Amino acid sequence: MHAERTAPPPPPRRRPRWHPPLLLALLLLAGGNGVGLVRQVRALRAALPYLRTADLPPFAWRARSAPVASLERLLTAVDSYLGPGVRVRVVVPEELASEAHYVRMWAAYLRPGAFWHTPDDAPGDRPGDLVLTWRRRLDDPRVALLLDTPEGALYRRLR
Amino acid sequence: MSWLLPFALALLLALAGPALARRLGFAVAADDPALALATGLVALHAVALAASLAGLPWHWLFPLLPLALAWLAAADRTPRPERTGRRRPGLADLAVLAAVGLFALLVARDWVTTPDFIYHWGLKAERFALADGIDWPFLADPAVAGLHPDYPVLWPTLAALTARLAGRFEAPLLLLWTPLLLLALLLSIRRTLAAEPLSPAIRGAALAWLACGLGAFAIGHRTAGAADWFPALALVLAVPALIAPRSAAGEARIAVAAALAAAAKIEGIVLAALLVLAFGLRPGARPRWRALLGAGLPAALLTLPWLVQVARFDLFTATNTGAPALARCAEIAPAVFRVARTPEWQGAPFALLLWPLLLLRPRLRALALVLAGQAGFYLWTYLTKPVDTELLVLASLPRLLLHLLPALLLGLLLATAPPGESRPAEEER
Repeated sequence: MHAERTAPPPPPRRRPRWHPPLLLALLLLAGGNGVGLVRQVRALRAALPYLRTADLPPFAWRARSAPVASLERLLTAVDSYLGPGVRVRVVVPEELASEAHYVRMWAAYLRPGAFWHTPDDAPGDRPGDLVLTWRRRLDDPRVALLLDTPEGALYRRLR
Repeated sequence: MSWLLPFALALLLALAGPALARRLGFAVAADDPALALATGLVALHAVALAASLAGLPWHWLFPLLPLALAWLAAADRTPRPERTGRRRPGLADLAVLAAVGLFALLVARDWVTTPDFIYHWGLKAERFALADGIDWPFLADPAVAGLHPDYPVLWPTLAALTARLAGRFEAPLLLLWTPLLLLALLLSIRRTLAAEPLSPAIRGAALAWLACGLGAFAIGHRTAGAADWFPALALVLAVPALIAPRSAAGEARIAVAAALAAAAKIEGIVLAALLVLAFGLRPGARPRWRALLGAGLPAALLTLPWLVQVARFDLFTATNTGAPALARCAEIAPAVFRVARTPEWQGAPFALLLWPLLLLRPRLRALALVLAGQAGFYLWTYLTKPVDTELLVLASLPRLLLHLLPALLLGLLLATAPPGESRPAEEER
């Protein structure tokens, strides 16, 4: 016991030789990342006015961007027809045909109760199914117009 | 005030999860908020998955689950692991709060939402909330094959349950889970660094560096609502157990981390397997097979029912894999280099070149093995997926690096600690 009480304290822990340069490097890296963080926020804020108002292609849409707002207005107008489980085919302008998938996904995200399809992914419409056209009108005797809005129209597939 | 809901639910899960885990025999550390939250998330997902498979609507969970968990917590008489690895708040913690707060502010305004939340995670969550359970028939609809119906469902389940509690599906509210995950990840890094014989100045500078770097990526790459935060958190959570001899506390840590990863993403299942195997290779007194069983059981229990459902509803996507083509390397290498230079990551991907340094320290070799295995899996995916390889790398690798880089950078910091003096929190158990 006596030996334990009088034992010399352990030698102070020596800092490794690489301590000062490591600290300096970490401080520089932290500062760089701090500047990077601020730059990311500033870049985002600078881009927002453009992202909100520009007519972006569907794959680049963001919440609250102009085309999404347009689609939302169309969906609000046709809401009374979109009951749970209703099958709706999305039709987009011909120049955006390759991106119909994204418009369909946004429609599904905004109105998840209905089943949303594009002409490519669900062959064979059933009578009574709905067809939603965004920024486009159809001239097709197999469908009947239900509602026309400035953003698009809603049709019902005939028997 | 509804924006408080994810925070309140996170708090409830962090309190109830560890109590439940300890009740089940897992020695989950008492003073690790990130591990506590992860444990709660895994427990909630397990209950929601079981309810859904049993055909029980989720709404019965809300009155019963908190009561049941509170009872379990009250009945918990098992000794709690000792508190370790604590440290006083410092300037670096301000950097953590600033990065997380800034991210949360932008998330709440719906400015940094990942497109994947619109195209599958969020849409699945909406359907699950409407169906009051996991909507397997919806996932099986051929028209939604682009939704990755075969992905594990922890994140949509969590979002759907939060929406059910809130009484409405409000994206910014649900997306607040992402800053919470970033906070948990940084708290876990902080705790691991605190248990190392590094000077306070180095620990602080390192934490500030990682907080600002991850915050910049979270914002710049628009990661709100991305499921990639779950495997990233899982790997960082697992680090203390991977650098210490096998122990009961380490086993519980690996069990939670592996389950969290496996329930969140397909890549997470690979990560879970690697974590369990690497943990099993660590030296320890307990028989190896028991350690492997204990660490791997929760992940297996969450993965197997999901796998059965994927097979039953034929959800596996054909483009997930194909024949390997080494010729794709010519497209992969330049694309990887482009991703490494992406401004959101601020050069951090080049740290992958320092990976061999982990091998110099024997205690870091298990972590090095996990990182190499996971990176190898991503390379294998790029070599085999029958899609436009360059586009695939450019679109996915920045996100996938989030799984690896926080743990890699943490490992490199641990490699600078003086050898022979480390006292990882899990070692004493």
